[in-house]
Amino acid sequence: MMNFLFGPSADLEIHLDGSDDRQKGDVLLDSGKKEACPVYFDGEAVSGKVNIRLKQSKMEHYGIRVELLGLIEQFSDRSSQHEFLSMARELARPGILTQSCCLEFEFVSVEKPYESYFGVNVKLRYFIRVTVTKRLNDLVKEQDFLVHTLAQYPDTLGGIKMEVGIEDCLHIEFEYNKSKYHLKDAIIGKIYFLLVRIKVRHMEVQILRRELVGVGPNSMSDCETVAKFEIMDGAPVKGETIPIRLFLSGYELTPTMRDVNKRFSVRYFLNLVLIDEEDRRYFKQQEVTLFRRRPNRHRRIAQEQQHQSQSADTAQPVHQQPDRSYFHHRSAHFGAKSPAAASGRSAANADGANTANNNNDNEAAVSPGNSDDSSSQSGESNDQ
Amino acid sequence: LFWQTRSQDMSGPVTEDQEKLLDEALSVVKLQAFQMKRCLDKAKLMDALKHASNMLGELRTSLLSPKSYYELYMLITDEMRHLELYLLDEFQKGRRVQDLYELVQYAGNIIPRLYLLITVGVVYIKCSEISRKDILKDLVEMCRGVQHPLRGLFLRNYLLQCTKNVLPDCVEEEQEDSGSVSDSIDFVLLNFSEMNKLWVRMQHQGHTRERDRREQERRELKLLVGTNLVRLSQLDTIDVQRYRSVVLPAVLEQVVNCKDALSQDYVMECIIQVFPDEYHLATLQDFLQACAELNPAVPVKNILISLINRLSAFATRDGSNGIPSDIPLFDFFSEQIAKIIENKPDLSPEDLVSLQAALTGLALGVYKDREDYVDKVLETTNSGLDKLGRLDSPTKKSVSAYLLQNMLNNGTLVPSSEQVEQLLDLVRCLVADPGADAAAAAAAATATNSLGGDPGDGSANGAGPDSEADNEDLAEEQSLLGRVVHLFSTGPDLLDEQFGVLKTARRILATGGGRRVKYTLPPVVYQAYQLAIRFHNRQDSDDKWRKKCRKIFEFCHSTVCGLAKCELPNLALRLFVDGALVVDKIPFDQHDTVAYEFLSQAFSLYEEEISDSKRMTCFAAENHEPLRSQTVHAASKLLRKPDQSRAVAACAHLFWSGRPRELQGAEMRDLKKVGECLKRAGRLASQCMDAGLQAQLYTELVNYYLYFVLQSAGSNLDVSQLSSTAGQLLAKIREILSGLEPSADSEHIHKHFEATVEFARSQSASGDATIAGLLAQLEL
Repeated sequence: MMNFLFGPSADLEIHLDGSDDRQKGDVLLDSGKKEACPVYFDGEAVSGKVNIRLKQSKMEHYGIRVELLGLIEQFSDRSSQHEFLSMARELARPGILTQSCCLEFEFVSVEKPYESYFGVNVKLRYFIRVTVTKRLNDLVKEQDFLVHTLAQYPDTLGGIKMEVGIEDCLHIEFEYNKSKYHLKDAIIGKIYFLLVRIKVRHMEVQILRRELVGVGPNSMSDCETVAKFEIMDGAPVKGETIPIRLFLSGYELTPTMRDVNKRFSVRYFLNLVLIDEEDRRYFKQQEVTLFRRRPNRHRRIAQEQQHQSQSADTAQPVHQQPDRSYFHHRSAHFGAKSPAAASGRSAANADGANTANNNNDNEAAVSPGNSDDSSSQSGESNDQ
Repeated sequence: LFWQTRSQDMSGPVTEDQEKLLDEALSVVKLQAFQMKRCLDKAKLMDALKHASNMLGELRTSLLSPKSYYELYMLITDEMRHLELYLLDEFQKGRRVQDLYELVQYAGNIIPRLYLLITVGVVYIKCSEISRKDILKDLVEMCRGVQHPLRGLFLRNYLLQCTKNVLPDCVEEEQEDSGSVSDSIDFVLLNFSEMNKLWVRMQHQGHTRERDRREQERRELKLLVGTNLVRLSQLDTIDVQRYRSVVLPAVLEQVVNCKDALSQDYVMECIIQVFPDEYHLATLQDFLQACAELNPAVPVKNILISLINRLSAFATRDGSNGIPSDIPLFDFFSEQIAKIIENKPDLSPEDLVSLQAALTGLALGVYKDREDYVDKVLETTNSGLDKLGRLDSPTKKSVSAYLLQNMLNNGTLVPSSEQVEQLLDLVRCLVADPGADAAAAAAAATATNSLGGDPGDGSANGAGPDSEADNEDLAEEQSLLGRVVHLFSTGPDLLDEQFGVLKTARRILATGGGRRVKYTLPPVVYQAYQLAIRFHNRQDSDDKWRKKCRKIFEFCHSTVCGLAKCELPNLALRLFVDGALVVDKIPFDQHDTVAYEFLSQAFSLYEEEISDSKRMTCFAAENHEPLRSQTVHAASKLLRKPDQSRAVAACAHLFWSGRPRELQGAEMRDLKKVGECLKRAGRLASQCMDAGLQAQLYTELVNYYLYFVLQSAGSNLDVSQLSSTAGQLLAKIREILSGLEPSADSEHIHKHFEATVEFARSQSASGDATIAGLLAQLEL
């Protein structure tokens, strides 16, 4: 009865075409809940239907509109929503609906330049919004969808190799096989101990995500430890080589995003941390580029569209590091940080800052990760 | 994506009770294992893996001792078998879990991750051999991540256990993809060298004061390292060729380079034990070469001995073809041993001897027809022992003593003069040591001087007990040497040679000085006495025996005189007297004069040196008048009156039971002299001041009287004189006893007296009339 009087006069439902078959991904809603939504790629059409189920015998409206929007929201400032993408279609002219109906829509070749992102201080989301304009309260329905940006780098790209140390105390050489990893990749590497005079207790590789929002004085940065992966137990001696193999698909990672719409960036670092018996930590961070590899079935399409749609994407990955990213810094030093002195500069960019927002470490989650990868890998160690 | 693990203090010192810690860990393991199995029953693999990971997380501890850790490890690996069986079952049913090998690698902690990886990897191999080679290689490489010695050793042991039956064991041509035996060899060798490194590194962990405990712990863990070699030896396709070219060089390289004595000792021994004898034969040179490069602290001789013994056993075993003739086994070993002796100047003589002993064993066992080999060994040993000259004196002595003891234990006879000479030369540090003697004398002099002067001088004060200990040592060594003298025997027939041996022995042993000859020459003398008796026994076959006996006694005489000059009168005296007894039994020409000479020597010694009246009884069996009177004379010259009294009384026997030759063996029974002796003894006793002692002496005298009275019963001797004197003595004793104050001594005298009287009574009651009559005079 109450619904009849004050409730919406009709239910709106947005159904995206092929959403049952599409790969799904989680969207973090404002409510904090996660919802599985279909994934789209740049240049793909977004089409679907709007079901309008009347709850009354008729409904008068001043037009029905469907929009496709791309939005960047900064949590610190809710008002400053930035629409970087906005497309609209008129579905119906003003009139009276006398029965439930289904309206189809399609946005062809939508340029979706950015990856959906749900971060600590910022989020970038795409959605379809249907608005039934009415005299008093408009009927509005939104449906989120995800956008994955794809990239491709040749595997032959050089890795990261570096020699670091503390004079007369610790000299190591570490090597990661690549500087750019796709999200299902494995980081293969090794640590070579040239000099060990400290009593190492264990060593781990961490994946740090650094999110930088805004520019200038108002910018906010956040660093989160996404992964902690012990690679060595006990103290090695000079001459030992320790292997690293870290499968990325087990972690919730996104591609590296640089300067997204001049509003934010998300970058990833591999942090090699040694902890000695007095609990002192020695670490060395190294940026790596993460990207989403083009699934096989999608590659051909992508190649066709490469020139138009990927321009934003490719502009970023190439410019950062010298092409043979070989570092050989004799002078490079580990930052040394004792747990007691975990403050100041190092606290901001190391794992000190992430304790508040990252409880992953002790979470028992044994699911094999995102179920969004249709390309299965072989069961063996997939050194590539 | 992280796997939960119970947080552990990874560095805490081992302070808490091991048992408690272990119990806690075990109960966590049991709980997690239970949940793991329940999840497996419900086919919830992911949850099961999570519990398995939690369970394995217990192995991250640093708090447990190796022993407790082992216990924990055993329980956990036992439970892991459930998981393995489940996975195998699933895989065989075709329900292959996608990417399991990758999946388990998401575990954040390395210990659980690698245990799981090994478990899953082995399941993959068991289900399909296609990727076997790569998985094995991957597993053994990934284990490098665990550098903690204890945890690393156990992890790699798990790897070794799990892969036990899946190592490729075929030659290259047969299987391209699934790997061949050379992959297995690489796998085990890498695991071996990593484990050995961890094992060696274990000694550097923790505080230096716990070093001994750590060494002990390391010893307990050695089997883990050795298992690698066992695994290699179980691969059938490793033939001699492959063993020589691939396996052994790698193992030896690792062992030699690790420079750790404990590891080298164990691994070398392990190689010997686990691989077949044929392989050792084929690689002798390499193996021995490596032995020469080991840490000097390694007891190489044990390794060599073990190898030699094994090969000897192999060659003599039933059904074996023996040592192939193209392998100069003996030469190899003798060369290598020579090299080792050369390279190790500090090799102890015991080691040297035991090495050579093993070599002798080989020569005797394998080359029965090559006596020259044994000769060669003995020669090398001899020259090696010559180097004992370079040893310090205690070592020399102990070696020599060892040698002598060994001879005694085995009853090794030394049958010729030359050998006696050689032997004594070998142990010359025991035979004589003039330098040391002089030094000891000097030290003693210093000690004496400073003892009075400066009590604070510790070294001087310490000199006393030290030299006492030295004396004890000396006594022990020299008695040993003395015992060995009895082994100087040419056998029952070669008497002349035996005399030569004894002469040689004396010549050398006499150089030892007073402190030594005391122990060493008496056996020589007794040997000589015995020899004389043997000559006498064989008089029929040797008509010159008289002359020879004389010679022997001359030899003895001069020897004993030598002893006498070394301030050993007691000893010389006894030897002379014993010599006289021997002479007495052997009727060679002028043996009486020889005996007389011996005894007169004894007397002169006695007079010059001896004040101990107890020696007196020695003369009781004499048969010459001058000696008898001399004896009585000597007896009466004793210092103390009681001793004089007793000695003179004892002399009475000389005149009673002596058997001079004129009486043809009958006792002389010179009653007059006996009476004189006893009277004289009584007089001497009466001069004693102490009444108790006097009573004692009288009582003893009464006993003498009784003896002679009873002895003469039935003869025509008139003993009434004796009886009456005894009666008078009894009266005197009674008188004294009545005035004696009661004490332990007087009590004793009382008893003795009563017993004497009682004895006399019983004799008079039971005996015949004559005795009774005689005894009646005793006024009982």
